[in-house]
Amino acid sequence: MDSVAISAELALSILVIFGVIWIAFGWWLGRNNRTIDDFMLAGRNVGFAFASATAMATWITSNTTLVAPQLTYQFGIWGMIGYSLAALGLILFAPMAKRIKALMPHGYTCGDFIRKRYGFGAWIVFLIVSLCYAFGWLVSLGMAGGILLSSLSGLEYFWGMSAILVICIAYTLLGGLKAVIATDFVQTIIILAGVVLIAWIGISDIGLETIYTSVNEKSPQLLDLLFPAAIMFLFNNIFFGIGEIFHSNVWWSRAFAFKKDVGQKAFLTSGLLWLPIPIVTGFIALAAFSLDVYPASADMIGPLIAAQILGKVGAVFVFIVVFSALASSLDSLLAATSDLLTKDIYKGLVRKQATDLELFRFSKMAILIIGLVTWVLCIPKLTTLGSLLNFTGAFVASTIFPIVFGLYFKRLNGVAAALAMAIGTLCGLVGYFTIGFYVAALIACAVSLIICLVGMALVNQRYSWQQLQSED
Amino acid sequence: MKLLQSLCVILLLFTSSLSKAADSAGALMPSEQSSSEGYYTLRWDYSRANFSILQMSRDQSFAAIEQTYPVPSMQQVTLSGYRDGQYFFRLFDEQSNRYSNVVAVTVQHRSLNTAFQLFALGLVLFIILLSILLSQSRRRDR
Amino acid sequence: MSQFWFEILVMGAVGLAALAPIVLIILALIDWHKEQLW
Repeated sequence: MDSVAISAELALSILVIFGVIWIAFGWWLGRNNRTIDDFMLAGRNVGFAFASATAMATWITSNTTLVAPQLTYQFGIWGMIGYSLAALGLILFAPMAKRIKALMPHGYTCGDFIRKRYGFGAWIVFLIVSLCYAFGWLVSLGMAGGILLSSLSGLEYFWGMSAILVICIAYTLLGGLKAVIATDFVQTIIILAGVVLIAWIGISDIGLETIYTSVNEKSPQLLDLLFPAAIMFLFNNIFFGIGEIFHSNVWWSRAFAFKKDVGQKAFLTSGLLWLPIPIVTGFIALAAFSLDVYPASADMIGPLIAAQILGKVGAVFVFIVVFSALASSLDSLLAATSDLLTKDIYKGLVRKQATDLELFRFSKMAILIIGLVTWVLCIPKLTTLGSLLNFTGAFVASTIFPIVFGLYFKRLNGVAAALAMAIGTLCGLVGYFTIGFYVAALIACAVSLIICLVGMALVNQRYSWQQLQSED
Repeated sequence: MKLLQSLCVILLLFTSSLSKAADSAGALMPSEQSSSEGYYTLRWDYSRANFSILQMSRDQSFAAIEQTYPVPSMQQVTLSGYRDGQYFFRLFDEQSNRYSNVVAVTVQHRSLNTAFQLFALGLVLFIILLSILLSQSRRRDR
Repeated sequence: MSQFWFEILVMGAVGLAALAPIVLIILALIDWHKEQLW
């Protein structure tokens, strides 16, 4: 976008105001953190309201505000419905959250589970998948922040990106998961109020009838429910979303942190509340045709239309909404990836006898390290790195069935699980390059299911669930 | 892959802006492309003329202009939602009354059969996943 | 998709999304009242 809607000074003031509020809030929440359970898992006692809000806020990323309109612009009706069905990831995780808390009441990370359930080999494969995904997501968030701030306000990419990262790192560091969850609650309210307001102004200014008529006239394929590529995309996106949630420590750490009996209810509620959001943020892309405004590249359609409909005030809103959406995911991801580094890499591989106090200290250091690595990776602004996240569809979808079978059946063994993840990923990547991004997750998931089934037919491991509760 | 592609594009833009041959024609790029999703991107060199309108026609001679897209001070545009068929595009500079070269875009959507097969595969996988989760969580509740 | 269903889809989504923050705030007030936020 060429037009700069708000001044760099205004953008900077908004950043500073929100930054100070979040950091002070983080410090205040973290002042009583004494143990590693307090810091990493908010004392394992998060109530229903905060639990629902944090699950929802984390799942509303910059992607929901930027990619939902992009997919609507590219795939039309199925694009926004397909994106909104990513809520199924949250909904299906609900029973799993209950099972996870029951099987491992003292667990910390999803890596813990994979190691105890499947052994060393599968654990390594899983860690590679998980860390690739976590960094892909972190970098895409950091870059999205910088790019968006620069396109809305003329604030230089480097400073916008750095500011967002520094703010999120600071309050996560000070307050741990408590700060992440409490800020998520406030951020959810801001995001929801913002997107509804933008959508409402769009509807009342342009009118749904006008939008529909001009799409029908200029780009009729978008309204066509028999749109081949969009039909292919539908389940692929569902499995991408399910894979992202099922495997990632962002969601497992929440399953551990929520109060007993809260997890299932909270994930179900957050999924249902999340469901309409991509349609609300996505449909305004279709206003392009009645406004006669067309994007240079599809990924900028959301902010382009929002700024067009709302002018300067709108740009401030978009700025705050996207900043909140970014922060609510970035903080969660920082915390969860730091848990993974602390419990799995540091305690699992480097210092097996580390005490809780040492782990507590290391987990803070880990947040700093991850933040620093993300910042360095974001500096060159390689948009291709951002599209890496798309690429990880194959990785994450291959973990769905190994995790589900691992949680519910004693039969599946580690070799089959490791092969399912590795070969599933490879086949998904082949699909990505030969057919298109919209089949990678689907193929990866299907192949890994077949390998799991073959594995279970050949060998019966008879795993004992007690092993999951054992100390290392 | 994409990095390589974008590097090539940058290189191409760079070399073409140096050469004089590209002065008259060759502004609108690429000269031919096909899309199996109905969306595609057209690029041009803004520095050479003040193009502000993109025109679409179903025939190469532009006897009937079917769509016009305002593209003020842009260097590329992404259009979407096209049905199967061949489409021709050219840029128009209102001030100097000049046209750019004509480029062609062929839209050929993927077959609905393949799409439904993948849809069916997705549906089957989803039903398997859902039934495992439902039956197992009900069993554990008891 | 016909215009009728398009409007239902979008208006329905906007309506539900507008309800979401209200639901979350009510839930938080209930938790706060029961002293079960954390």
